[in-house]
Amino acid sequence: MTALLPAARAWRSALVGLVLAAGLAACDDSIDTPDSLRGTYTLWGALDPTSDVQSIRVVPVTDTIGTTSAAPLPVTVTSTDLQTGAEAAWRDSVVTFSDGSVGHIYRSTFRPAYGSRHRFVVRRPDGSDISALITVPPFVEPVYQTPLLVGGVRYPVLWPGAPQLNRVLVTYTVQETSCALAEVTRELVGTSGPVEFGWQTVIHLAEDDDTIQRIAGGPRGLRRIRITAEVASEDWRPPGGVFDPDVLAEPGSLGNVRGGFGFVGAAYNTLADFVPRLTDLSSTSFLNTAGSCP
Amino acid sequence: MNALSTTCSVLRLLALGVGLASAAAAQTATVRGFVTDEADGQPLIGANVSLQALSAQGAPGAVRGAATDTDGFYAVVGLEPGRYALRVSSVGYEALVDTLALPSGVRALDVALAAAAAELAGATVEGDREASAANLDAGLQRIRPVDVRSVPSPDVSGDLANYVVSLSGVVTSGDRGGQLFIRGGEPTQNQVFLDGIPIFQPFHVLGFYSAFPADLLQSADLYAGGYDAGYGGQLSSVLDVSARTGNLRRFAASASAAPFVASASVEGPVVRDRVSAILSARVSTVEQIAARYISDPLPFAFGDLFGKLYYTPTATSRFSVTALRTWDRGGIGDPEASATSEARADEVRYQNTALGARYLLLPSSVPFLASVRLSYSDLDSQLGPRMAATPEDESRLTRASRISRFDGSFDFTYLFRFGGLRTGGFLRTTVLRSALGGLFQNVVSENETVTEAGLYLQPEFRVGGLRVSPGVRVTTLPLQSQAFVEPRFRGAFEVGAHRLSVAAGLYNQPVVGLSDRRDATSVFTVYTVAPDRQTPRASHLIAGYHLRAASWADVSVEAFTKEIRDLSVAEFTAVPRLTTRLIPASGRARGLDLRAEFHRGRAQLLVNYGLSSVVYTTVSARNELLFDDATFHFRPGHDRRHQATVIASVPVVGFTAALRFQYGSGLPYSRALGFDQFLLPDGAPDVYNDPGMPRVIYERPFNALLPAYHRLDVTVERVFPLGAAARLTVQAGLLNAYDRANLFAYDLFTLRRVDQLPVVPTLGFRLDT
Repeated sequence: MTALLPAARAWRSALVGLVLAAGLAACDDSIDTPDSLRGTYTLWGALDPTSDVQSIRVVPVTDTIGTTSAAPLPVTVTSTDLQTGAEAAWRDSVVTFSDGSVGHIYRSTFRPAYGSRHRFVVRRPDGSDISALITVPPFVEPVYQTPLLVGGVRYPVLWPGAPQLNRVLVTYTVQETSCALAEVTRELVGTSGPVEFGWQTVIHLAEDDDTIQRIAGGPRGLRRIRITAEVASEDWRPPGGVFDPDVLAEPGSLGNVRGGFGFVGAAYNTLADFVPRLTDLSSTSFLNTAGSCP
Repeated sequence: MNALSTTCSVLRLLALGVGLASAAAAQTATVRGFVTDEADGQPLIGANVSLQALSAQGAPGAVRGAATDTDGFYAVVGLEPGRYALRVSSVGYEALVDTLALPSGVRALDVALAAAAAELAGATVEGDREASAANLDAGLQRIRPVDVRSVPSPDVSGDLANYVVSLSGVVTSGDRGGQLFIRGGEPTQNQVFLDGIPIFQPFHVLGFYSAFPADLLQSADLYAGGYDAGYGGQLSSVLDVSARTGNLRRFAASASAAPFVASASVEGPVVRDRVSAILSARVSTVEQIAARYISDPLPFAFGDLFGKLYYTPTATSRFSVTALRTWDRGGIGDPEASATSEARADEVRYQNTALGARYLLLPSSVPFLASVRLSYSDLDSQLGPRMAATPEDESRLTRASRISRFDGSFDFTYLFRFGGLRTGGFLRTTVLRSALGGLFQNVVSENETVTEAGLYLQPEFRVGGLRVSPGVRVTTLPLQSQAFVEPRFRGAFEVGAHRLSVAAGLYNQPVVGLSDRRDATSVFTVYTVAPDRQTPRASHLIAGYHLRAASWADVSVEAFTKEIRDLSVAEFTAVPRLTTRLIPASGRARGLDLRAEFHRGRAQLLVNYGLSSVVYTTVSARNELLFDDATFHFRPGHDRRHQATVIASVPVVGFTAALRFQYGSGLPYSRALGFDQFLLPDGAPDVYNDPGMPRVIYERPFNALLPAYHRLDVTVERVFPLGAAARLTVQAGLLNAYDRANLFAYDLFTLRRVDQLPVVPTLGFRLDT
């Protein structure tokens, strides 16, 4: 550059920028929209071999948040028992929840057999499917194992052949000195897990002792223990073995739906019920009310 | 222990430096003093003072010189006693030429320069251009008020924010929000000072404005990185603003009105030539004027109040007190949303309060400059519903965060023939308070206090065209049992029109700002001590080349890298909520800035281009679950790869026309594929009674780009003299001239967008007396 830049030249350069700007003005200012997931569905629910009515929620994936409509979904929902070939039809029923939102619950009247396998299909008008393969867990009967008394009273219960136990609730029936009965229910956390022949739960009575007494409002007698276990299909295992809501909320972190989102499993509740021996309770703070009450 | 030993070493060096400086001063001659404007007594920054040795026969010899700093102070040291030809010059002023006979010792010489005739006529005189957008010195740019005024602005006066956002390497959230990302750093990693007082959020909610209108600006140093040991406590950048002092000779006043802001200021001598005061106030007129003719909702209100008292007790000392108060209120998200709708209707409010005093002293016998500062600064911010149904809702849904800092510091500058030594110390206490109602990080409320104390040392050596300045800063946090030793380096080599410069350093930030930056509308920041005592730290490296191609042309190119460790970022989740968990992250910013500036008379053209890449990395077991890899790299929401700006101004038949064109490539965001309902599968779901919770279906976080940003602003301005003592400036303009729909906010949950300002015609007036 040997000559001075004239003012006009500077201004001309600016005008070039102006023209460039005008050209760019024609550029698209819209936000790049993704391949639409419209017509995709999220499925939630579980087949229950103890019930004659099955219910599964079908959630349409929408463009904006919280906008599920009560209008019928343009889908046909069926399920097929892969062993017998029996096909079941499912019907939509629109439910309004307590928060005012609506949901599409598909219902079908049949009772799946223990150990059976089913394909649940949501068919769109174009013939494409969203499906989930569901394995119903086998029938499980609890086996009461020998209580362990050293280092606190523990009641192990074996659930032979159970592929997975989801929620396990322990209900303690306690008795006041007036002989009135009351129930205290706690979720069993941390002492339920898979073993060689199925699943084992262990009740640590010593650990629950103080909590039960506090909830019950003072020293009580312990008359009965009931375990309610949800036996679930084998694929119902969360990542890391923990039902962490933050992890499970991520689409695909626990899912078995092909072509869509969500999880459809199979589960049922089963019970274990027993009366603790008085000798077991002698090392706990539970009162002996058996002698004074019927 | 290491910090203690380094501190002792610093003190020993300090003592040695004082001794050497005193001994040297006794044997040689030193000239020092202040250069001021003859008309108003204000310091002149960047004035050149040169001394040329004269032989007994009057023949000229070697030339020595110095430039004045922000106080107008200069010193030429290490001179042989004898006769010298003195020349003092500054852009737009008549040069002063004289002859001096210098005995050994220190000679005080204050100089007042008169404005050049052309300047009096209202023209800008071309001259030395040490300050220029294209005159980058290893990340440092010196900004002058005239630069700020050259950028088209919605009002007559101009504002520092409006200029800074035009620079390559500075990414903003646009004309709403007031958030600046500088060379990959986040807004809370920037440090802003006004006369040495930290200002935590100086940028107004409408992005054209800050607490620094051009009228109050004396100078501003913007370090985009690589700053020296005199600064510390922040990771990314420093904007050091010096405010003008009031007129020491006569009273002056101004008032302006425009569609976005109205302002008034008054200044004058309290005691002629000794004490001056300046007071300025601005208030937004967006809701009163602009909103009347702009169809888009403009829920913004802001203002600021500034005052400065300046006192010259003796010829060798200066004292000043600066005070600032700012307030902002602005809607973010969807302006049309109601408090109960799914769309966001939040409003952010923040107020800065700052007060500081500075005493400057020149001891009579040594070439030494000392200053002591005391300051208090406070930022109080809230984010809550714009229209809460009840006061209880307002209280429940409003989050608040407050940061207050008490700061005391001293700085000494020793000058010797081949350079100088700057050193100083500081003690500051920061009080952090937040009331978050569990809506952020699950934190309800927190109160924390951080005390930092430390010393710094930054010598500078000059030999020929080589300038080398290694430094170190030592900081201790007694309450947190932490200490940092931060080496710094700045250097340059200048030959003729060419200059190579380099800067590097380590930086720590004990007080961090946490924001949920998963989308573009997050303007609320919670200040806290670094989580888990993992103090974020950064390393900078900058290398640049500057060419003064001609007296009217500057070109520079600069490459930079910033590596940041122990950042905290919001963990990704598919659940739309404000409560987020923090996960550790590291960051890397790299880029290149190209700038060219051309001047001819009052015409100027500035072209900037910036290329940059910012990548954050998180490592967590959860990443493995979600992305099949524990290590996840992503581009954060401020990673603007390409940026270009053209600023031009030119006189046309008595008017000054100016334009600014800006282009920025699209910013990353997390594109939602859709939305559904989530039922926690921790057992057979109760499909009849559990409505589930809304869920966002992502592909991957920050997996898409928003549209590119570009706009054109133009203004035309004319000054009308009103007699000898007043003038009226009228400015007309068009903001976003071709009405580009630039995105400001995009609500991931509703897919609703909020755009920046549409095309806005403006008309402003300003009266100066």
